[in-house]
Amino acid sequence: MSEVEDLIKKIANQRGVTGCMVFNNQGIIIRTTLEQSLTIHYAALITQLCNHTKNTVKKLDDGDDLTFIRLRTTKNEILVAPGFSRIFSSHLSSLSDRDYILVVIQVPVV
Amino acid sequence: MDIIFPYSRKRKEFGKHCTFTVQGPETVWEDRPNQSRKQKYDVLKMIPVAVQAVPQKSEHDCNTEIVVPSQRGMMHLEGGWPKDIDPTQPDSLNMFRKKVERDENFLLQLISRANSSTSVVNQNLSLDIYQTYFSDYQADVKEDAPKATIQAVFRDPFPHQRRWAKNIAWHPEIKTRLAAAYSILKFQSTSADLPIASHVWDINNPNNRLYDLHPTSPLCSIQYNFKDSNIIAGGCYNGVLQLWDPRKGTQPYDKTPLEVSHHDPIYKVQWLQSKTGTECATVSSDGTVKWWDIRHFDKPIEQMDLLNKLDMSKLNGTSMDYDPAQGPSKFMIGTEQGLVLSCNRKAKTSAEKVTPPFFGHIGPVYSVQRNPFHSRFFMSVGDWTVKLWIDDLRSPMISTPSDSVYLSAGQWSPTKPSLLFTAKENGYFDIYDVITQKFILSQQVTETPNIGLSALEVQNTGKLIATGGKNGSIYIHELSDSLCQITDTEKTDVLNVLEREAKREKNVDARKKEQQLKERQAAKLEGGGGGGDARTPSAAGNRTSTPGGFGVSEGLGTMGSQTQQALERPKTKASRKVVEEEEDEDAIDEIDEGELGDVEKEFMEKVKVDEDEEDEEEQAQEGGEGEEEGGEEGEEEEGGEEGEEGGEEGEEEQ
Repeated sequence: MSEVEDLIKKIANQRGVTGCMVFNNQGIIIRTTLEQSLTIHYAALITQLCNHTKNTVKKLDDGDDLTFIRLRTTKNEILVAPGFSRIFSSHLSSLSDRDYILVVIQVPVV
Repeated sequence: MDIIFPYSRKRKEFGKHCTFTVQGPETVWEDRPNQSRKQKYDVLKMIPVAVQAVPQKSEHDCNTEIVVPSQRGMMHLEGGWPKDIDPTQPDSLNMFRKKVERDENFLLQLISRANSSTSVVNQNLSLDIYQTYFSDYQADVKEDAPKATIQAVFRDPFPHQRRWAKNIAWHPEIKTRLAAAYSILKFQSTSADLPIASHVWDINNPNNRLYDLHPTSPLCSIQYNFKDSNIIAGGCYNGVLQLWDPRKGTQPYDKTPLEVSHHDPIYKVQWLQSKTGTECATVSSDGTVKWWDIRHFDKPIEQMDLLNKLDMSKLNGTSMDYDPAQGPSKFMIGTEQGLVLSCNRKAKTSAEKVTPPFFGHIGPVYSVQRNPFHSRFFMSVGDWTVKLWIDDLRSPMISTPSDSVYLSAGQWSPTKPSLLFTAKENGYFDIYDVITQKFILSQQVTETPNIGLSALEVQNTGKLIATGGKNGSIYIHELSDSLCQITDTEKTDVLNVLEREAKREKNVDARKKEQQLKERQAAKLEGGGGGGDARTPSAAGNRTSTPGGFGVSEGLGTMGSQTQQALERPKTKASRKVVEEEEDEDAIDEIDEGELGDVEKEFMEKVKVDEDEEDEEEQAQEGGEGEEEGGEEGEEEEGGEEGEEGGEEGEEEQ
């Protein structure tokens, strides 16, 4: 539990990061550093976006898969890590990697 | 049966003058009804029969199942929770969350995702991957070859009448719309069945016009109101000004009464920049300019007659330019007589209203416009040339070489101060560059050279130009970027060129005046003295009267006699021609001056002075004759400078 918390805090404390959220693939919010209504909004929209994009990539080439979505908008950058199946090393072999989505909102400050 | 009426005349009476007399009508033949025939026929009884031409109709009705639409709304606040958990209880939600987090899978996945996210976050912090490089770099437009491509052609819906597209007005807001006035301005070319409608077109739909405007007489000029782009003013062939609102229909919603309107076609109608945006001015070849307020159309608010100040002759206006930058009451008028007037509406006396005219054109001035960037300079298009002028001088500064055909319209580019667009009678569309003083583009627009262009209008973005042909077609040109984008130094370059030309022209003018003054003085000095005495003081006077340093060509400083006289030659060209003609006549030298009147004496002095100038020059520079002649040829108005430089070279070589 605390490791999860630590991880999330570590990400959220990085320079420029305004928020960090974890959803599951149904859109249920697991953890978030932003306020609730906004997170719900994000959850709904981003899970849809993720699904759409994943399908697009898969249909174009079956062996291909979506690894990361990086949305640069005028005000900030939205980073979505949907997880993807990769050839795992032996100790992680039978696990599916697609259950959760990590979203980080950052204002890029160079 | 043939009815014959013979007419005979005696042979000896052929060719005799006819003396007509009144003759009563005489019956030649009549056919009366034959009564005996009547008995063979029976008269039928009349029965009234009613007939009606009406389409057959019948009535049916049927019943369908009614579909009742209803409105439903749905609000998602939060969703996706599994069925067994009730979203309203935060405790169960938290329990669910904790359960998820305890899953070891969760942590592993989270770690991998966190890693990738962190690397991206760091990347963003170190480098802006979307940075635009060279954002202030401007594409080098000079390398772009000037091109004008025809984007669209709007053909006259009534082509067999050969109407001219006389005036085109772009819509001030909608960039793809324009209104065109169609009429024929050639004398007595209008026929009774000439379609008098004018049309509004949209570029996106070149085959069908957007809508029509129906005036009572063909429109010669048209313009959209600046403030309210729904009002269109059109000047008619019969001198009436009419207003349209396309939302209200195709008929004009107002027009000026015939009694107070112009007596000739309205060549240009122009909206004025007033606070209310309801004033417009019209100029017509009947010699008047009238101002109207559209709220009171029963008579013009003001009227002004165009008079030539010098001889008080009436002038007919053919074009007008109203430049708000110069002031709300100042405008330019081009006339049929070839003069350009600068007028001030608010001047107190009628004398100040119209300034002395600008001479130069030999034919009607079809377009006049001030440069949108430097309003002291203006251009006029008429006869075979385009002329550039400055307010202070009465003669043109620059005049393009005479073309082979008449120029029918011209306009400055609204975005590039150095470009001038012209349309010609052989269907060519030209672009003139003021900086290089050359035509940089010349294109055939109409299908054949015998169809001329009659109108030209540049859109205020500077990118699109509409030209109207004498077959009623309107051609839309799109200019390449180099022709519509202004470069950095362009405004100052143009100003420099124009000021240089103005200065040169002023100097030429000043020299001419000095020359005339000197000659008049010399003539006064000489009561009846010999020609020899007259020669030396005036010739010497000419040489010493040069003010040090003209400054026209760079670094001339004090000039030698040759360049002086090279400069003097354009002024005295007219008299020089006389000299050349009369060189053979030795009689002039021998005429006793005492017998001549004053005018002849002056003329004589002038002739002798010029002869002497020529003699002295020829004596002084036999070696440099070649350069001098080269200088002579170059000494037409535009090439005045080259002439001087030619003279300078001649001097240096010696």
